[in-house]
Amino acid sequence: MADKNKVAEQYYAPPPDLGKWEGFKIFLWNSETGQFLGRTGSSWAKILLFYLIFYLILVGFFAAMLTIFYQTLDSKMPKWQMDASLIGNNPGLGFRPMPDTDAAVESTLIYYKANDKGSVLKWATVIDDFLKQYQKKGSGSGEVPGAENRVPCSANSAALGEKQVCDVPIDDFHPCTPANQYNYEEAGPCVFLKLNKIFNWTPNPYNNTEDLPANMPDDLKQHIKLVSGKKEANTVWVSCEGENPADVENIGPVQYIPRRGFPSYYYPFTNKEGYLSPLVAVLFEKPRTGVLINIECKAWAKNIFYDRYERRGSVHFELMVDRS
Amino acid sequence: SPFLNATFTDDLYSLLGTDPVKGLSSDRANELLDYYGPNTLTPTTQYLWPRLLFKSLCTGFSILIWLGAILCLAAYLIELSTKPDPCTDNLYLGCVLIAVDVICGLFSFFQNYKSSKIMKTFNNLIPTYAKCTRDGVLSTDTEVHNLVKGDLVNVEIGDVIPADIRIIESKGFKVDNSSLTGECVAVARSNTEGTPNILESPNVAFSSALCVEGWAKGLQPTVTASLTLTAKRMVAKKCLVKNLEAIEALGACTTICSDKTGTLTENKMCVVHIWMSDKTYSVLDDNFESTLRNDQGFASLKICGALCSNASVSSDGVMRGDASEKAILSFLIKFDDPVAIRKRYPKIAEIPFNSVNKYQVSVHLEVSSSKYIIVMKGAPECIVSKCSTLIHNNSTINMSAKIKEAANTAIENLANTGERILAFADCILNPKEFPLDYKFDTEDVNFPLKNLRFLGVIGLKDPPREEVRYAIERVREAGVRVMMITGDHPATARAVAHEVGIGTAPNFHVVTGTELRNMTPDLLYLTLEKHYEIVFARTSPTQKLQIVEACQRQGGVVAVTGDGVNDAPALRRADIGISMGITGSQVSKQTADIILMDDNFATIVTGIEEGRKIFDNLKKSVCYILISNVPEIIPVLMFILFSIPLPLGVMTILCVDLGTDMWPAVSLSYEQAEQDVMARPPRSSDPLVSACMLRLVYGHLGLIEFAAGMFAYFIVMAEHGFYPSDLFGIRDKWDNVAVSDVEDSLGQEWTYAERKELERACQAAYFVAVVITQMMNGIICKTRYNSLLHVGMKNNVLKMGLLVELMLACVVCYVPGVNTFFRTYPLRLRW
Repeated sequence: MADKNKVAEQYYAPPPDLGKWEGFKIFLWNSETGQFLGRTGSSWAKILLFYLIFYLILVGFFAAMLTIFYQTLDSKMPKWQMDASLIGNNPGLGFRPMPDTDAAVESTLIYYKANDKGSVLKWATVIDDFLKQYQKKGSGSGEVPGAENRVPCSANSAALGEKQVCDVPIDDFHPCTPANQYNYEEAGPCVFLKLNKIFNWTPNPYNNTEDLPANMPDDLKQHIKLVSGKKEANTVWVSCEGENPADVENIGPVQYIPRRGFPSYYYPFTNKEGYLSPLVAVLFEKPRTGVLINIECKAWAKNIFYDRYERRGSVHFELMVDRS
Repeated sequence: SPFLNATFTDDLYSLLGTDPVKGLSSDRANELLDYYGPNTLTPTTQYLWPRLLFKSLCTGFSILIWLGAILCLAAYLIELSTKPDPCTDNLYLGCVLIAVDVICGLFSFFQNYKSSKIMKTFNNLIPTYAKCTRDGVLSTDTEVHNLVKGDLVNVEIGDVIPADIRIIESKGFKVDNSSLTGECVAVARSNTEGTPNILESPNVAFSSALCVEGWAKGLQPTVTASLTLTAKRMVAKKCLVKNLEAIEALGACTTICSDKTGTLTENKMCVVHIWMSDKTYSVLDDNFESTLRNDQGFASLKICGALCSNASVSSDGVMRGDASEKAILSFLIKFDDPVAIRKRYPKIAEIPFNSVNKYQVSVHLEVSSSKYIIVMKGAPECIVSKCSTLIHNNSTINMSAKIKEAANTAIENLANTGERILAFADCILNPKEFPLDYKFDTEDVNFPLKNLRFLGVIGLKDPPREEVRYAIERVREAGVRVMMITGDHPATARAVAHEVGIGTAPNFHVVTGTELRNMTPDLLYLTLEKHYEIVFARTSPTQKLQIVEACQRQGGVVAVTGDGVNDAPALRRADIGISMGITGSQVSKQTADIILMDDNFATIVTGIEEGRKIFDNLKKSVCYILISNVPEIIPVLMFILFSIPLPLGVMTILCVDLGTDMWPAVSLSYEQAEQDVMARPPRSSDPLVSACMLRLVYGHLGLIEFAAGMFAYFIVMAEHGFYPSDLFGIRDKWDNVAVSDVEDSLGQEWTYAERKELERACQAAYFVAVVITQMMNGIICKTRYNSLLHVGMKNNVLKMGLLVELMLACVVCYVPGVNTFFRTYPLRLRW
């Protein structure tokens, strides 16, 4: 009997069966071994220290590599320019006012009610914001650094100084002025066009009537004929047309203010402080109201190629003016 | 089946058109085979391959992929019908998903198909040979399904009855009908009168019943071993894996319970010592022959040895039979011709050996003097107790207590050296008492089995295999415990264990079957715990099972080797059952997961190594694949949280996962075993994906890879004018197709097409960075414990894999068409 008891004492005791919650509590804090979440304090400290050091080294290495890489870059000049860069040497066009981009609405529709003040104001504010950087020196709060470098330019003006850039006189854009709310109230809205800045890109303009492409609109051809040979002809020409036959009918007369393109003297863009991208305000004098008009504006120069699908050398937007 | 119950076998023969000696002619057998079909049970319904294919195409994860693909295509169709120029992204994605699904499905289908085919061949290989006599020739490799009615079949101990048979001739034949009747008691079967109930009819043995005791003789008295064909097939590995998971389990195995005979030893008994009257002679002595040339006792012993043996010598000198009998026979053949002796003494009656009697007896007629002679062979203690006289110096003397003691000491001494001892005795019967026409009855013994004349003792030894010692050393280095479980004498067990290195300490623990019987399971557990080196001797099959269970209670993964029918329960209970290809009975082979074709313990070591290697390599592959998850997921998180342009597109993710990562991941499983694979302790509850590995993979390697990718991404961006600081929050404008003039850090303005091109270039850069770091990781994953310099780059498949990965990456980036498909961009060198 005694022998049997002895055997019984030697029995292997399986670990007590714990409930789920009990097990979890022990996992959280095991008072026997001082383990917290399955590790003792020193073990946690060690592993945290290791990861801290590991990640610090990783981040440090990453940062160091980036810094070294930054040394190869110029803060003013892209490392790769024009053809060497993916941006290429074929600038696209941009237009303002643009619908709210932050809302991630992929829309290019400028839609407003001409007799609704709020609607007009909304678009005018968008343009105001855009034009802030164009405001003259000393014009107040919206002044941007480098505005003092701007000098008035014309086709005949002398070469610019090292720091000087050409000014864009937006006050001459009448009727597309802030005071006039860019003519939106008159149901003849102004849309500002600008050519995408590409570092060191200079236009090769159509400055005479030779080699004009066949698909160039006739009125532009006429215009070039007028200025052909003059210095003003050194311009990246702009044309806006309705995309479809119906749009062509609906678009009505179009005015280009202050001139029909971006003069060459604004180029090349070299990221000088205060540089302004030249603007063309396109005034749609009397677009048909209540219909949506697809409009495509193209930039014309010998080194700008046009591709509607990839939007090369052109921009597309829709205009819809309501008058209720 | 009227013939099953036919009382007279003659009727039976005519009924079946067969001959009791020659069996069927093979022509007739073929005819019958054509007529009745093969001797198989209707096979379990197997999935047809289209169904298998369908199953592998539509399981679990792939259903999700299908759904995704369908959604993508639906989205594309909707877009197609509503928009003039639909984005082809969805179409591409849908197509890729479908392609992925189909490829994966086909892959797994072919894997399944192949393995099921392999399993089928296994099934065809293993249990299906019957010894069958046709045209008067006994062939051992008649396939079971080719058996037809009327075939003569031989069944031996351990065989599965190949078909429903009618017993014509048998000796101590019992079958285990448990698979049919559920009774576990072996049922005696012989050629007696049948009963109306076939199941209970004692003259019928049903197919799949196990022949567990005694040996049954069909019509031909030849004893042979079979299954040589399987050996031929698997000669390369010498290790037939029936159950493919077993090899993996073998890698995790912590304890090996090894049989002694045949596994640790060569199973080639040879006679090393002879003890007669008062002297021990060593067979290996040079003058052994001359000393005993004219010894009368030795002559009697030779005769007794030759007669008391069922082993036979065929004309070409090949011996068949039990190992010790073969050993005795090959020992005798050096001095005398046992066949000639047998001719001089024809066998009259016989009681076969069984574990209860522990002896075998046969009665022979000495032709020259017309006297009957009883010869007995068996366990020495049993024989000594049955003897009253002893042959000493050419004369017969009475066996005194002193001589008995001397005999017992000699026996003990021999046994202590690990020899198997067989004692021999004979008795010449008085011709008056036993005239020539005397009928000897073996069932109801009517001849003396006592007061015999003691002839001597033969010490047999089964020398340990040469490789085993080294193999056990390696296994023990690998942290696997080797235990010996044998039915042999404790002394024999101890000697062998010492010799092969299972027991290295001078006094390692030996547990005998009797001790074991008195142990409670817990005591056994404790014993196992206390003694690392342990040997079980004189154990019964049930005790073997008990030991295995105790080991498993310790949390061990137990591999059991065994060859006998009685090992089958232990083999089944074990995590890995290992059977012997040569000596193993068919039942043990059927139960086992692994069959060692060369019966060699060293092969188990290879198996363990293989298993660990497989597990290691699997881990490597999983690790490798998991790493690339990090640089795939974090960019998307960055895209969402920090609104940067997407660093890695869906297509490129798929490309990494299913394209470039595939081959190296697979090739890692071709990795050679690491050198220390056998020096590590067996993994205990080490899952394939452990927390430690996840930490390494996600915390270290993955982040490094991600950092590399982001670095490449930032470089490409910055060199084009988008400095990292300006990238954050740019997403809304960046991805807006309406915005045609996004300004970068240097004032340049980008149209949508240009931006997207840049994005593709960045993604390509990221992709290439990931691919390159993945290649590095491939090399890192190559080794788990060893250093790379140590291992070297010997895995050609991996090398190829890395090369292909690089090439694939180039193709994805540079080949026009492919790169638009995967949204990548030709990276230019100077970037």
